[in-house]
Amino acid sequence: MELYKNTIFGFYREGDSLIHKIDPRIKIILLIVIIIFISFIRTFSGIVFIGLFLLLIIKLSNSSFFYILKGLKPVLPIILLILIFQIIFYIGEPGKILFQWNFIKISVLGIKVSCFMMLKAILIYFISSIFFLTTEMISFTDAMERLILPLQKIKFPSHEIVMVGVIAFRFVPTLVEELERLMKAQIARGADLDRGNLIVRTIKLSGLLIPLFISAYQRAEDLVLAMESRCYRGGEGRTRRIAKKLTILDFTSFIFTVLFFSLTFLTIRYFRLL
Amino acid sequence: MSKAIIKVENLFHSYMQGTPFEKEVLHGLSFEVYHGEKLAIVGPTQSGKSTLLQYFNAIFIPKKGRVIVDEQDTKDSRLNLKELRRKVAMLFQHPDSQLFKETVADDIAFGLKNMNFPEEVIEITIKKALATVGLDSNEFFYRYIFSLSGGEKKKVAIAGILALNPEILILDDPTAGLDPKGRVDFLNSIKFLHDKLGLTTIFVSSNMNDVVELADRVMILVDGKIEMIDIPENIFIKREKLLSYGLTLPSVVELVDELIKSGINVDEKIINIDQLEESLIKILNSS
Ligand SMILES: Nc1ncnc2c1ncn2[C@@H]1O[C@H](COP(=O)(O)OP(=O)(O)OP(=O)(O)O)[C@@H](O)[C@H]1O
Ligand SMILES: [Mg+2]
Repeated sequence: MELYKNTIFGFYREGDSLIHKIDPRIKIILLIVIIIFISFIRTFSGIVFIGLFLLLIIKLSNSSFFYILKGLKPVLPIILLILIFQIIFYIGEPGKILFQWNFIKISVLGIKVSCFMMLKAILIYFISSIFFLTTEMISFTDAMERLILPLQKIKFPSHEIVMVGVIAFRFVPTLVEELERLMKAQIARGADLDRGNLIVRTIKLSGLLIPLFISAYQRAEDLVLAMESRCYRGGEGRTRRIAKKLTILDFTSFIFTVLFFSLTFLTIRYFRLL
Repeated sequence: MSKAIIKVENLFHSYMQGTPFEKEVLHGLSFEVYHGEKLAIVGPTQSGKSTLLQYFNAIFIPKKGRVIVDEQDTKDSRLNLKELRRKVAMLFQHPDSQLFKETVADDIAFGLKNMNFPEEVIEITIKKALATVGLDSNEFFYRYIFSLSGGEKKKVAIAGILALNPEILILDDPTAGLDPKGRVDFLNSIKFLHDKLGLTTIFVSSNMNDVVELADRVMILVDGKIEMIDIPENIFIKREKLLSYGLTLPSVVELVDELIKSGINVDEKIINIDQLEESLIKILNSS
């Protein structure tokens, strides 16, 4: 009975590795670059390249590959389900068909494309996990705010949007904790939440949702009061407690990553691997 | 000595096992809880008290070590968990999350329905449970949970577990957040329940005065290790040690120390107000 363990994604882990030290603004931009790059890959060799790159980053960030992998466990059934549906309902050039029954067609190409998509999703999961494992929530949101701050000029409420994001993120562990408490309280009075078939379990879980929502609303109310009593009034004119400057490390890591990807891209192109 | 109803053998607990956040919080505990006794578990904050309690009703199953409740190993796969959880009733540290239905009656009925009590007896049982904790069932039966005060919530939570007719009562810091009157009321109802129903009672408390008033034995848990487990008289005589763990002393004990310091010769073993009164009267009469 421990939910916490399975909600690894998005948890910062203290450390002073190279990756921890890169400025979060640079890291966000790199994360976006890498994700875009991953979505452009069209060959297995591309996947292998990115995979190697990720292993290097994992090494540099002092994280453990297996630990991040474990975080996938709770969503594994969903991933597999999507994979199966993709294979069954693949519509595209048919190519070689392995098996056909009514409207269900399983083709070699279908399997290939679907596995590919899944691998890409996993790569994206990995790179984002590394990002959140090495970036404190506070500095992440701070960086986000700075990156979209210029938009304030065109009346885009950057500060408020980031604030909402921060609070939402901040409350995930709190809600998980609350849910764990509720489940324990129900189990202690004879509810068997962990048994029964899928339907029975869903019905039982719905008994948790209502009290969970109520407590979330109560917390939201408390938070509003706490913020107002400390005179919070939005972003305009707020200054930062710690002003960060970019360092050599930030520039080098940025340049290194961009170079690495351009080179990979070019090599693959050149050898017609992509 | 009467026989043990709970036996804990070399129990370890780690949170987040198999992750980089792994943290061992119980380091090999062994002890017994005797049938019908009131055991207090005391320790500084974060010492693992709440974690330990969750082993008694098999919310946690030992990965390392053994917990035997009423002669059944909680690790045993043939164990009837529902029956065990009926027998071992638990009041959690945060009563707010213990109450999750809309009305008092619905909430108390939750456990009864899970334990398959027949429909006809549920209403009667709820009323009886409310009466046991001293709440008027006419007034409280249909009350909304959110309209209750903190003390009332605790009582309703207790009614919810008493309705299941338990044999062991586990209370995690039950008097925290109660006002002085609420606290006295609450302690009295726990005493009453214990004496009337003969429930074995295990309670965590951060208030040493509760401990003096209620406990037959006291366990001092510090950083996941048992430092002492003994009758209150033998625990509170070790004043320096308790203070060094960051614990406080019961008010009466502090008073006794002051009296001794100012030259009044009372016994330093005294821990409760009745003993102190008796001893002071004796001193007054003899002088
Ligand atoms: N769900 C959890 N996940 C991870 N760590 C936890 C969890 N619950 C408790 N801990 C940790 O285990 C240790 C013991 O916690 P526990 O709640 O058992 O202490 P406690 O003695 O009940 O404290 P308190 O007096 O504050 O109630 C603490 O260090 C706490 O941070
Ligand atoms: Mg606790």
